[in-house]
Amino acid sequence: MAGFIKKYTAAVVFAAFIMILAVADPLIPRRDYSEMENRNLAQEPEFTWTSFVEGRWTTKYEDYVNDQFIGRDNWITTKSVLESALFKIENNGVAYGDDGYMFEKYQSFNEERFGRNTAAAASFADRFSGDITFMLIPNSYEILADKMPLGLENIDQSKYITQAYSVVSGAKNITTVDLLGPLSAAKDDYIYYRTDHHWTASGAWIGYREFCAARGLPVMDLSSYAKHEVPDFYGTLYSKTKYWNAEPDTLTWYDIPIVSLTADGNAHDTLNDTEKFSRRDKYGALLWGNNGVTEITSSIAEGPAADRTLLVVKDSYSHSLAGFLTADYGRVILLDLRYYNGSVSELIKDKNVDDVLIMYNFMNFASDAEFAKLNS
Amino acid sequence: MVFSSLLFLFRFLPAAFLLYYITPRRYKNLALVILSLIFYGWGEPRYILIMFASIACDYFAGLIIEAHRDNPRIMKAGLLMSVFFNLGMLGFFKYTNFFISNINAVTGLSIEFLSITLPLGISFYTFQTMSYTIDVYRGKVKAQKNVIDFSAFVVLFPQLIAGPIVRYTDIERELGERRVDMSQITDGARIFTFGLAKKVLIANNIGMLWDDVQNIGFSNISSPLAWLGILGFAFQIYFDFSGYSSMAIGLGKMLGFDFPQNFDYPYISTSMTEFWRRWHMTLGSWFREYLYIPLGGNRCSKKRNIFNLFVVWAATGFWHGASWNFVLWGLFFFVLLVIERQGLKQWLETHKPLARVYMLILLLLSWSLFAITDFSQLGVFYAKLFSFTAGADWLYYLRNYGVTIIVAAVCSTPLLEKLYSKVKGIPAVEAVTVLSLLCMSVAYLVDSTYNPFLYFRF
Repeated sequence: MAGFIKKYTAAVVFAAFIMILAVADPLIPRRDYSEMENRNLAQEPEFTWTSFVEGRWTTKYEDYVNDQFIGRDNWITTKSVLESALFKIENNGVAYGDDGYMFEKYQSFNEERFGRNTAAAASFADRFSGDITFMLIPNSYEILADKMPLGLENIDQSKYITQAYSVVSGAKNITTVDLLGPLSAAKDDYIYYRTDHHWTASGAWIGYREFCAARGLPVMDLSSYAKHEVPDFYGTLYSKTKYWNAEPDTLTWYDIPIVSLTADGNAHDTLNDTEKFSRRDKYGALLWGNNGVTEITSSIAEGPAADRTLLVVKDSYSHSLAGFLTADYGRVILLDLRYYNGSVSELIKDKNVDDVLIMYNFMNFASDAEFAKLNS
Repeated sequence: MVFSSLLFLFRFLPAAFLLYYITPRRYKNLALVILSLIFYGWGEPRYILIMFASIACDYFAGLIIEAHRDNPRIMKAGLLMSVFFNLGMLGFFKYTNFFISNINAVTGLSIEFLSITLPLGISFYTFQTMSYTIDVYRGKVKAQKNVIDFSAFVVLFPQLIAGPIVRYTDIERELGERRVDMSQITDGARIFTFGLAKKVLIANNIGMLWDDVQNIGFSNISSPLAWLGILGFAFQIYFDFSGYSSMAIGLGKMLGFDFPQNFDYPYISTSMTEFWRRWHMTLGSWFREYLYIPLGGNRCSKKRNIFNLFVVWAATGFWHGASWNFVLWGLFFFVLLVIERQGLKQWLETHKPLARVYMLILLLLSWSLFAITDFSQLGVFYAKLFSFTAGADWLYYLRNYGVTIIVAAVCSTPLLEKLYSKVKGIPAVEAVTVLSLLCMSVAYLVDSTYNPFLYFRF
C-alpha cells in the first residue's frame, strides 16, 4: 500500500482530494445565510423539465453548489490570504487603502443615467411648489483621497456633483448643499467607515449641519442624547473582500426619542432596531433597515419647522442622519424609491408634505434606475 | 459545463470516473458517450441534437466513402456531404450574424439578426469530425463501423469544447483498444492539476488587469498602463488556453487516451514562425494538413505559395471569431511570416536579445488586435500605446499585479517544468505540490467573481 502511494502519488492525492470533498460536501447542513458575506445563499433549486431544458435549472444548480460548498468561509479566507501573498492590494473589486480603509474601484459609471437622474431632480422642481434641498454625498474615496492606494484613479465625483448642481440650479425652489468642502475639512475625523460604504454618524452630522445652514434651521444640541458605540462592525466592503486582516469599524448611534416610527406599515416606538446592533448587519439596525416609506413623528422638534413635514427622498446614507432631522421637523417621511411603487405626487398630497430633501450618495444616484419614479 | 468549476470537479468528475472505471471494457465507449453528452448538454440541452446530427452525418459519410472505394464520384459525394454539413453548421451558428451585419453595412439594409447562441465548442468538434471523413476519403484510415466507437470520438468530453483538436487518426487505436494503467492516471492527474492551476490561479488573476483597463476606457489610461494591460491579456489568453488544453490532456490520460500536445512554451519563441509551431499546435497542423497542403503548400510558384499562406492565415484568424479584427489578426501573422521567410528568421536566430524585443512588441500588438473587436476602440488603444501619455494609474496596477506578472513570466518558460521533473520522483514533493495547487485552485473557485470562459466565440 505504502509502495503504491509512493509510486502513484499524484493520482492518489488527486483522487483522495476530489473524493473526500465530493462525498463530504452533500452531507454538511445547508445554510440559508452567510454571516461573512452578509447575503442569502442559493438553495437547491426545484427540478422541472422546462427549467432544465431552458438551462435555468442548471445555472441555479451551479450557484447552489458554489454557495453551499463545504467549508466555504474557510476557502474564501484562504483566497484572501493568497491574494495578500501575491502582494495584491485588492480583492473582488475593492482596494485596500491606508489605515484599514477599503475603497471600491469605481472607474467607470453610467454617465447617461447620472444625467437622466439629475434631469429628473430638476423637473421635480416644476411639479413641487415647496422648497427642495438637493444633497449629493461624495463617497469615501473622493474625500479620503490621501488614503487611496497610489495610482488608483476613480471617477472624479466632485466634477460630476458640481455639474449636477449647476443643472438643477435653474429651478428657483431648489437649494443645493455642498458637502465636498465640509467633509474634506473633516477628513481626519472618522466620517466614513473603513469596511462599509456608508458614512458614519459623524459624517451624517456634517450633512445635517449643512442642511440646516442651507435651510436656515437651528442645529440641534446632540450632547443631551445618549451616545452608543457598537464595536466589531464588518460592513459591506468587507463582505466583498472578506479580507483576512480587516480592521472592524465601530458604529455610533444616538438614542434620540421619538413618538413613533412606521416603516412600511409596521409601527415601532424607537428610531432604530436596537436588537440588530448585536448582529452582523449592524448598519441595517438604523431606521429598521431598508423600507419604502418610513414615517417618523418627532417628540423633540423645535424651531420654525417644528410643525412642518419633511419628505426625504433618499438612499441608506440617510439612515444615520434622519434622527437629527427630527429635532427640526415635527414629521419626517423617508421615501426609498427602490422599495416604493406608488405615486410620489399622491404621497406628497396625502401626507401634506411641506419641504423635500433629496439626498443620495454619489454612486447610488449614478446607478439608481428607480429615481425617475420621483416624477410619478 | 467547464472544467474550472466546483460542479465539474466535485460532482461530474468523481461520478463520471467511478462509472467509467467500473464499466466493463466492452461498454466503456458507451459509458463515455453518455457521460460526454451529459457534460455537453448541461447548460444547453437542446444542442445535444447537434451532436447526434454530427455523429450521424460523419458516420454515414465515412461508411459511404468506404463502401465505394471503386467509385470516385460517390466517394467525393460522401466527402462533400460531410464538409458541407460541418462547414454549414459552423457557418450558420457562428457566422450568420457576421454576414448579416456586413450585408447591412454595405447595402444599407437592415436585415434582422438571428438570435442564436453559439453551441459550445462547435469550432473544435466540426474540425475534428471533418478530419475523420477527409482521412477516410484519402484512404489514411478505415471508416469506423461501430457507431458507439465513432460517437465516442465525436463527443469525447475532455477535448470537446476547447481543444486540443484531436484528429481521428490520433486516437483511432485507443478507441478500439486501450488500457488505463496507474502510471497513466498518475500523469493525467498531475497534468490536469497543473492545467487547473494555470487557468484558475494565473489566467483568472492576470485577466482582471485587462478587464480593468477596458473598464477604465482606453481613452482614459496612460501609455504604460496600456502596455501593462495588453501584457496582462497576453498572459491571460496563454494560461487560459494552455491550461484548458492541459486539463483536457490530463483527463484524456486518466481515461486511457493520449491527446496531442497543444502548447509548447510559445512565449520563448524568437520568431513568429517558431511561435506558431508552439502555439495552439493542433490548430496549426490541422490547417496545414487540410488546407495549406491541399492548396499546393509551398510546392508551387512563389506567388501561389504566398496566396496559399494568405488564405490559411485569413482562415486561421476567422476561425477565432466572427469579426473582422480576427481576420486582421490572422493576416498580421501572414505578413510577418512572409517577411520572416525572406531571411528575417535567420537574422533573428542569430540576434536573440533583439529577437525577444521583436517578439514581445509584435505579440502584444497582435494581442491588441485579437482582444479589441471594435476598430475605433482599437485605434484609440494603438494611439495610446505609442503616444507617451503620462499618468500615475499604472503604478497601482504594477503594484497590484507585479508579483502575478513575474509568476506568469516564469511559468511561460520551461524553467519550472525542468526543475520539477528532477524532484517529482520524490513522493512528498509531488504530494505537497498537487495538494497545494488543488487547494489554492478550489479557494479561488469558491470565491470567484471572475472566471470567464474565453472560447465562447470560437
